[in-house]
Amino acid sequence: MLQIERLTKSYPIKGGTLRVLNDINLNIEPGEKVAILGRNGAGKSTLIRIIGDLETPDSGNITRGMSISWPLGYSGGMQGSLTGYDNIAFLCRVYGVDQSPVADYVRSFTELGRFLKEPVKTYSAGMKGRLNFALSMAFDFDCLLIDEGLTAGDSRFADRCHQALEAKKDCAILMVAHAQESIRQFCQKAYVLEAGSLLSFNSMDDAYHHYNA
Amino acid sequence: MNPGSTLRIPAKQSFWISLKIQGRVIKALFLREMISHFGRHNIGFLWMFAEPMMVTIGIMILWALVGHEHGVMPSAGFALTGYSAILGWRNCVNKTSVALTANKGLLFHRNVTVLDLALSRSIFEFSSVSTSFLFLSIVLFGLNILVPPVYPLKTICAWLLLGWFYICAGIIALYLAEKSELFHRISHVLMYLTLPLTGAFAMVSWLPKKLQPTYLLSPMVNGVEMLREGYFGEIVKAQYSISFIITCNIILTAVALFLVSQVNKFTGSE
Repeated sequence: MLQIERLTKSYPIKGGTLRVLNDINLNIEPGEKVAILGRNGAGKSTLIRIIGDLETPDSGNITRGMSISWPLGYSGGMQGSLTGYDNIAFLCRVYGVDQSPVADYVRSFTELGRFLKEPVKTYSAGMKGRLNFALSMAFDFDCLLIDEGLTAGDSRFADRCHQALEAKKDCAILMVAHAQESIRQFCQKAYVLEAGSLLSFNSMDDAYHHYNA
Repeated sequence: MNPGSTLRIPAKQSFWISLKIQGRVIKALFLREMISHFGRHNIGFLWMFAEPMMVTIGIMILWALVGHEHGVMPSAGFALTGYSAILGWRNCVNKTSVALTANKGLLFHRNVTVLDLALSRSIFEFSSVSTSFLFLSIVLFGLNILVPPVYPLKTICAWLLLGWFYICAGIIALYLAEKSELFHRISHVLMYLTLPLTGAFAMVSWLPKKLQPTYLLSPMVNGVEMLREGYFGEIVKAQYSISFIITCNIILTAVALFLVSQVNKFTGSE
């Protein structure tokens, strides 16, 4: 289980501080699929970075009872001057797993083919997103953190992502996104992050209704 | 298709497992440095020590041509020990200071910490210079230009003590570079001005008696004195204190570890 208690985070801005997250409480059970909706600058990515241990909160507790992926998005997680394969090898060494099954899986999942032999910095944003997503699926995390929904790649790739995620029944997922229809079908629970507070709702429809209002 | 449970990533780790993970991460980062620094083209990872070697050879030829007089020390040996020390200092500081910028994406992984990046980069730089030092010693011995070290163990210890100092300095440089734009602007001047402190250009005993205690306040001067005594024996009249170097290194280690813990993974600043 992932447990977040009384989390706050502020950033210094011109003439004072901006409280981005204010007293956030959140529990995620194994296998639960949760979406956090919010507008640009609402603090979604900050929250996901804190959960992913990329930033430290000002106060509050995070209990990580399960293994958590790195925050998945268009950037981050890879080193640009290394090739796709070198990045795969690096991550396998970091996570201490065998390289060849991961490389095989990523190759067939991303369909990046010979581009995997090129430096990642030459990839388009969509290609990077595909590699990043495939890598996170290849490692068996208990909980995936997904920044900006499943917007990597084209619709064919988006379908593959959905299928792969559906297959991971035991894997919890925390997504932060704007209110996309695809997420509505996918998640069981949604929160709205607004003015630093996390609002919870009884149903997905209520959350979407509040967000769109 | 999914490799499944064989790739299970455990949620909680004991201290020993954490230590093992850190070792694994540093090793992975070290290999990553090798690959992206030197690529897989032409002589590949041989660049690791070919680069410092070319500089050292160039300096050795230059110093031999201008006819540096070093008393009892062969000028090739003086240049080899001195320039290896300068390169160790310069490369560890310069290249570790930009380690975070180059590896930002890798910090997204929880197990990869700022300390891991700093350590692997500065250990890598020190290893390159060490390999070049060792290789040149052997070649110069083969060419009958240089004798092997008189006290091999002392030479190695001195070099490792120097390495300890350079690596800590590199980690501190990473902190300074992340905290202040100013560091990038003044680092070249700073590195130039610190050259005398490396102890490469003169033995303590060549200086006026009055200046000697001040010169010996630099741990690097102590280290290079010890290195040259190890290499050429007592005839070089080295002056140094091992306990002074070790004390400085321990203090520097503590400072480096504290400072690096203040660097934020995501923004690089506090």
